Amino acid sequence: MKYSYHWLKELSGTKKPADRVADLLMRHAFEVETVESYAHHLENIVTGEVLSVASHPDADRLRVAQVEIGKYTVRQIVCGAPNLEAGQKVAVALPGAVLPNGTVIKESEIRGVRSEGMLCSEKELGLSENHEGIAIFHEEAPIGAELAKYIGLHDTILDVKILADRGSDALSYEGLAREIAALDGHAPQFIEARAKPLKTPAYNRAPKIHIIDKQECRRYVGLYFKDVIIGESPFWMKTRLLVSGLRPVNNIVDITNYLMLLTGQPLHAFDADQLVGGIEIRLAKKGERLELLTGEKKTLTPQDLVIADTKKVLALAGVMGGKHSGITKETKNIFLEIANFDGATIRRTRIRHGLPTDASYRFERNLDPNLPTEVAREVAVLIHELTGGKLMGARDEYVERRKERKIELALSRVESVLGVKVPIFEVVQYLALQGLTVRKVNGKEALFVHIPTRRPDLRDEWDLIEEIGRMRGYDKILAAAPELPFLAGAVHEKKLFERQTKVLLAHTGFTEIMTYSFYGIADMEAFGFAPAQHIEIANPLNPDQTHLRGSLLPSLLSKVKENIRHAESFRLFEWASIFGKSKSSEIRESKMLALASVSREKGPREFARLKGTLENLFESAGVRDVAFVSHAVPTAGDEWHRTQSADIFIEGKKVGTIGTLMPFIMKRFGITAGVAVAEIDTEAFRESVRTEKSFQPLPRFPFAVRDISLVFSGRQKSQAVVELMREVGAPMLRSAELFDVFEREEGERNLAFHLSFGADERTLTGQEMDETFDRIVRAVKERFGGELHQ
Amino acid sequence: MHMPQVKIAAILAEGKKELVEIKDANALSVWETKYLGRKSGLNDILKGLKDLSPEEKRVVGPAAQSAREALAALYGETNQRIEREGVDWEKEWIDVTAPGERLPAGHLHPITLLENEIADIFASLGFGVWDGPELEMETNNFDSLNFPKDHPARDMQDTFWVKQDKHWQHTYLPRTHTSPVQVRYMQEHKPPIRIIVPGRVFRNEATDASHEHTFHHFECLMVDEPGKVTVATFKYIAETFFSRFFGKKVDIRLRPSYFPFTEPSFEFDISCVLCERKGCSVCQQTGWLEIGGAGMVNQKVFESVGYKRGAYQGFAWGFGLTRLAMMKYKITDVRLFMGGDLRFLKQF
Repeated sequence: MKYSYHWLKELSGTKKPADRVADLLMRHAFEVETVESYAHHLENIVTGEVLSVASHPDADRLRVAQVEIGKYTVRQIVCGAPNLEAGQKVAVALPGAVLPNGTVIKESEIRGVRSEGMLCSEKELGLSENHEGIAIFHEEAPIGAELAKYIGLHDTILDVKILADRGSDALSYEGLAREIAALDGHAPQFIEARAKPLKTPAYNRAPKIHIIDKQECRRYVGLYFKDVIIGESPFWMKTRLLVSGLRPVNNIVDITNYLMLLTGQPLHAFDADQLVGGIEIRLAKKGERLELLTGEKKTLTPQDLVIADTKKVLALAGVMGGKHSGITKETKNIFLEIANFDGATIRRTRIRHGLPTDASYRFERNLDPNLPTEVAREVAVLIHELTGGKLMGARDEYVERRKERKIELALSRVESVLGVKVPIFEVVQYLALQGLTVRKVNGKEALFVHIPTRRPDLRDEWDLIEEIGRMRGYDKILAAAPELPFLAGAVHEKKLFERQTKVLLAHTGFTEIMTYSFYGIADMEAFGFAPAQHIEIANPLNPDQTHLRGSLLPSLLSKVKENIRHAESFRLFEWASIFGKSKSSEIRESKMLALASVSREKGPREFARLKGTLENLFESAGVRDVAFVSHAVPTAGDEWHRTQSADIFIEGKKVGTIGTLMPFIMKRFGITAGVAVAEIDTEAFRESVRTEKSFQPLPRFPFAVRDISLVFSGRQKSQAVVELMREVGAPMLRSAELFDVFEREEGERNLAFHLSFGADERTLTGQEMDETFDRIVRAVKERFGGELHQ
Repeated sequence: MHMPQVKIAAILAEGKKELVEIKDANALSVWETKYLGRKSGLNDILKGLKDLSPEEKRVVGPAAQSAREALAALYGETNQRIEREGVDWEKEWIDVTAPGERLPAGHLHPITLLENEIADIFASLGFGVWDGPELEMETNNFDSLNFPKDHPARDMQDTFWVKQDKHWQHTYLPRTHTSPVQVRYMQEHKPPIRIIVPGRVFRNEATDASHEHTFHHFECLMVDEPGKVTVATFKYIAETFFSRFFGKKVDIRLRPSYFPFTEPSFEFDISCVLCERKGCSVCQQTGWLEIGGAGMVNQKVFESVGYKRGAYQGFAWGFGLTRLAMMKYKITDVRLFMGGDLRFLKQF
């Protein structure tokens, strides 16, 4: 909320300049977002006295005035205002002045007569909508004074961010002035209960009030005024509204706005002659309509609280009044509402209809239901003084009177929470400055604290400790190392594994990406995923982010595509959650690892590169017994290439898949480069990590290596050959490693292996090796039809 | 002068002279055989000592020996000279300024790097890292943290919500902060508690250079018996953390704030690490950087996880990892973090 420094100063009694007040607030109460001079200073506009008025020689409607703007300084000004008269005190815009509407004032000739400035209307000064003539000031106004200073616009504006739990008291001048005074160490300057009780005639002419929905409306005070005269407000009130960011409208509306700023309590004035029968506060009926003050027509819902008479809806409670019962120039009698509504109800209505107003802003923060009592007295005085209206009746429906709360505060807890000792007299002083009544509890180191109803944020001991802490100042609490027994830090195995694995990946050339957890129908379609399996966002930001992703691959692939423009070959990985529906636990979330190996070179080469990296990764992580098995083609849609992908099994359990993606997917993404990807369930991966290691003695006798080259017809899987060789070559064959593959002729595949032979207790003889070698050759021929290639 | 001595002097002079001319290892090897070998002149003299008189032996023996040692030393020097200079260095030339052949280098995401750095500092203070789901129940994200049913944070324009399945018992949402992990941790553990929680969070907010709907948060929770973990403790932990993180003394400033899950609540600022509170463009001339929120855990939160009211006390604090990364690396566009652009990621 924007606050005028002058007004705050007057109410609080502070002597500190604006920036010091801002600093005080920031350290002890609220963030002050800006401290700025009031935006329109009306520079080069001064007060002046009209000495004489003569007619213009060449224009009927214009007149020529001699205006004194200082001792012996008289300006000649041509003016068309009908209300111009000698002896008036007026606003003189001198050459160089820029009016709020942007007009630049220059010396000029108007139909042959020199004019050295301009006399301004209130509208031209930005003070009101009044443009019927020039603005006339009090006859005792000084001559040659800066106008802004004279009318009170020379001000500094503090934009203060009132905390969410202080809306009840601090979204008002009085509330913030009370806070400033407290921080300054004294009582505020305004008197809390200054007006006398309301006097109403015996015959109560105010319409009867019926609160139907008592959850939504806690209190409703209605005042009936007769014979108001709608007109302009006095300057002092207009400028207070202006500097606080509100536009003056007419005396009735201005009074309600002024009191709202001052006390925080929004008020609403109805034209009493437009009301029929009693007033009801109720939830709207389905389809009820209301034309707002702004002319906008709204269809209401049964969640909207309305003010209605016996015939129709009059206003959207706490948000905005209706046009039909609004104040006009012709209004004679008014019905004034000072109410208390449920914050959440008002907030929902404001959101539903998109109507943020000064009233809804305050009601949403749940105001003090005792506040209307005081405001009713003040408004009665102001309306009588400024409009001549006579109070002819008042109603007050109060559903349940709110009482003061009492909190017992143990003094030991103050130190226990803040970590610093605060003497009891200081504690008492801080609480008293905040307007709380404090009494010592007999026989205990404790205080009884009475909380006024304007402070619903103070609910328990800890709330009071916060008041003490901030009043004293948190900078007076010095950092202190805790004295606590040693405690070994909690270890989260999954996070530890994530960190270690990410480091391994970075060391093998993978760069980590982080991408959105959402994707849209287009991504799902491109991959052939069924939207029904996905968790849908009820309020997505855009059509590309409508669902929580069930796979990391779509965003991985789009990042591959984006990076391919800048890089020849690269590797990416992401470690992130995927989501889905679950029969047993409603939803499921699993952390997946997605990898991509990319080069501009076409073809499946990247598969082997990625697979090799994964094999390294598994080995470094401590995973044994990894198998890559040709990907099982499911019946439903599948993103994996039918003959270039493999499921990854660890200890017989599937943990992920590696391969290239379906050609149609690559086509949709417009990628022609070689791309191999993998998606691995990190939990299954982690669970298969075996960190225990046991030492194997080094071989004492040398191993001999022999190569074998075998020719197969058709697509012989190398893994099966290795397994067979190991089986029949045992125990002398120690390892068999594929080192070369090539297509010989059409349909013929040549696989070459390094075979190493050895024994634990002796050096093998050539004969022993030959026998094992021949056994292997025979077995491969028998099982797979492979021929030894000479 | 006696004959053998003349001979020794002649051998020494000749050997020295020849050695100067030698340019390669082969010639040196021939020289070595000639002057230091078994059939060398000096060796002959030494072998012939036995035929000399005792007086002659006394003179000739040491002379031959010292000549031999002198030649051996010269041989060593010449050998070293030839090893260094007997190479055609021009033929061996390579371009050492050409780029090296590198193994592909990978990079961790700046957020991960930062998370690790933070975790290490906190580990040294006795805090462990904890984690929780990103798709969270409304109860954990809001109710247990003392957000009233009508709190604005629950609005659709602030928070993403998930479309409910009819048979679901719970309402789910992509978590708006890492604080639900506090709830989960406390439900399963009794104090003392010292954990940090880094993680991905979501807000329903349109993205631009300074707004992002997905970002990373970090949270710290320390709970113990009343009086043990105080506001002063929080200040100490925060000051220690930031001083280590930035490698210089950092001051903490607390300002009053309001969060449903803490009481008292603070906004906390750190002294500007660039200008040391003199005022600069980064801190907008204030000398302070706004970092995050903190406070003493609200007793209602303790009650919601099953602790007795007033039985424990502690602080919770959190801030944006993303924001800290922007500050630390001077990144001006928040969208880069989730953009997956290698040109960005390779800088870390």
